[in-house]
Amino acid sequence: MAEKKISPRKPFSLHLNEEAFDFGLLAPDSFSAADKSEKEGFIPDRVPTSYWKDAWRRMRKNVVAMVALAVLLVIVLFAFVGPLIVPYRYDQFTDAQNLKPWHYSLEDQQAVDALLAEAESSRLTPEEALEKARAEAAAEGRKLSLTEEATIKAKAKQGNGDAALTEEDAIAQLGVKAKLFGYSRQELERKAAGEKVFPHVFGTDNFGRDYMVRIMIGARVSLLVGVFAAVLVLIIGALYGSISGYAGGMVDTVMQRIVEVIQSVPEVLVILLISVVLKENFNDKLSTSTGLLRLMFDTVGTNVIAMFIAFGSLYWVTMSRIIRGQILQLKQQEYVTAAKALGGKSSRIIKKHLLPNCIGQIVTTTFLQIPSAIFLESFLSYLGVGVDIPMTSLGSLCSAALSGLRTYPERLFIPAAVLSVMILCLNLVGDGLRDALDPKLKK
Amino acid sequence: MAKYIVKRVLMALFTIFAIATVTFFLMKAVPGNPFVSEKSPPQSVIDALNAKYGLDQPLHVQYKMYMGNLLKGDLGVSVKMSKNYPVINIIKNNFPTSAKIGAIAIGWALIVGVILGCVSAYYRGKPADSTLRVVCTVGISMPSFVMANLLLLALCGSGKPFPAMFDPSTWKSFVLPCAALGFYPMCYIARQTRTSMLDSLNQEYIKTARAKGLGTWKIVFKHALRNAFIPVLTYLGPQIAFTLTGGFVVETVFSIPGLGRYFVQSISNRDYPVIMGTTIFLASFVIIMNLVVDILYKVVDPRINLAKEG
Repeated sequence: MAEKKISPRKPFSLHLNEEAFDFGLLAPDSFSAADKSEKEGFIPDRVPTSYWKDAWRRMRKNVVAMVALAVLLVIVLFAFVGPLIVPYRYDQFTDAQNLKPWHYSLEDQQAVDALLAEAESSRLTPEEALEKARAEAAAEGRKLSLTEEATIKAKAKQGNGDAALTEEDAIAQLGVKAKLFGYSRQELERKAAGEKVFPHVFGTDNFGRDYMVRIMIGARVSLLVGVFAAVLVLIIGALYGSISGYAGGMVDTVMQRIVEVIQSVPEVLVILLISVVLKENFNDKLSTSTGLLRLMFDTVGTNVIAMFIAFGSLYWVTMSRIIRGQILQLKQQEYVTAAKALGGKSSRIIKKHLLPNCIGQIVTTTFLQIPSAIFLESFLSYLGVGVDIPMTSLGSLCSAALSGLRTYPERLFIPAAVLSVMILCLNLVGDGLRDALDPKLKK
Repeated sequence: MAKYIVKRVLMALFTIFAIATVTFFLMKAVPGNPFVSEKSPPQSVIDALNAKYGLDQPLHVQYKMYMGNLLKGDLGVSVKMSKNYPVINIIKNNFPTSAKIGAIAIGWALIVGVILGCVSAYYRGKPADSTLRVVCTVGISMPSFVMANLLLLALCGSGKPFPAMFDPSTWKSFVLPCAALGFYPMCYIARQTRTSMLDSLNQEYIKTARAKGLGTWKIVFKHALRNAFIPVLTYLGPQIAFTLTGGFVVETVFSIPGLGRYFVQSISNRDYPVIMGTTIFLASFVIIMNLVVDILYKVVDPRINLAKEG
């Protein structure tokens, strides 16, 4: 604090000024507007801080949370800006099917092909093999029996008599090095011709869809599902919790009994059930519905809506409990009594006085709902009740990757890694938020 | 105490009843008839089937019938799998495998999780603590299917230590599913134990124990853990539910003939009676387990006055 300037004519000061009691001093100009130099004394020497600025300052000191936040931003950019940059659509079928996330240069591929062709041509036909064996036998001075001849022929036919090269063998033999990113042969030829071809960074799937774009879209869907579910939980939970906490008495008891019942329900099981049933129902309605409903079903997909409803109907319980607990404490405060005395309506007191005062808890709980919603979405998608084809999410990408797991393990691991990193960062940022917004809770 | 238990049991019964009711009406809200499919039988057969299962009755009669059957332990029959196979038999045949895997998973998760949590809390801020915290945070961010598939790909198949096909007669088949299933709860329990352990290590009686000259081992596991374990116990209930549903995925990945895999199959088959029966059964199981954990909680720590709280 700067040194207090004591001035007898401090304008509009509520402080008792001893000199001011001397009415002789209280000349009419005591009430005149302050001039510039006097006003300077009133400028606080520290920039005023707000709740959010304070929280942000605390958050910035938390290295883990800030790193997680940065990674999260990268993922968000990847999911929302990425598809605009990559020239492929997530549902675009191309000829470049089943590409690995790496490629061999055109010359290398030709060398491999030449080696394979050579191996193929140097392989003896069954007749030639028989001739050769007969000649060898004749040189030893004996004749081949019929069974021996048959085995030689059969062996030559199967091709394991001589060099039956596989592509991997040829690649290993030539010592060819793989290069990053997937290109199909046609794409490499076009590239060699001077055309610009965007690489398939993570390869392509069995329909030739660019896998990176699919992961971007999948991450976008997962994030959106998480955020919307969290908002839904926030709305229902805040309403229910604040009413229950504020009303108290019989209303609170009944409402809490309902919460207890819902809380003891195994959520995932019931959410699974609700999603399955609602999806069937929506698909049935889809054929007959028109207008807004139709538009909604078409853009979001019936499964996602079903998932939202299922999620919203059960997951608000934690949120409502937390808010109720806070409100029970806050409503004892004097300012609530004052608001009541001034004739404030309950809805106004809840909205203007109670909820803003537990904003820290609300933000933290809402934020931590996002990873758990994504977790659940991936679980449902993995079991096949997730988003609809051709839309995709990280969970359904993982699930689809299972059929070719041994050949294309990267199709499982890339989306799984993105999913895990996303949930991890959301959890870490959420923990950081809790510490920053509610320093009392810090463990 | 007795009053509390009676109250909780009544509550649990009501919850089960509510779930059964919700399940029933949800299933009735599914459009279409379970007997109509691509290869539909003639209308007369469908009518006969409807009459047999009471589907031609009004809804409230069907509800009464269903609830009555439920009380007798009759959960209906499968309409898609082998003909008229009772749902209760599916549960009887397949639940033991699921329960075995789930119990082993929770068991190792609890033991290892608590030990790791104690170690982490005791070496607070040291490299051991940081490593464990990183592992556990990653662990609770990884969906169980990722873990299960990683293990499957790395360790199953020919030339690798574990068999690719599930065989209930060897212990080897159980190792990976239990490892995959228990990993998440283990990390969760370790985190919770660490938090509550830090609390109790700061208590005065730990200082007393140290002043008496007790060994580290005795202080941590005998004195501190006793108090730290109680909050951990409360997380056990939700973890049982989680392990149960996580089992769906793990059983599918490792092709284990457990109830979870049947449940997932019946979802893709739209075999509603099986979905319904399994849901009610599993939900009741979780609710009863929660009840047991809650009562245990009271037994372990007599300071907690549950009658007031709940």
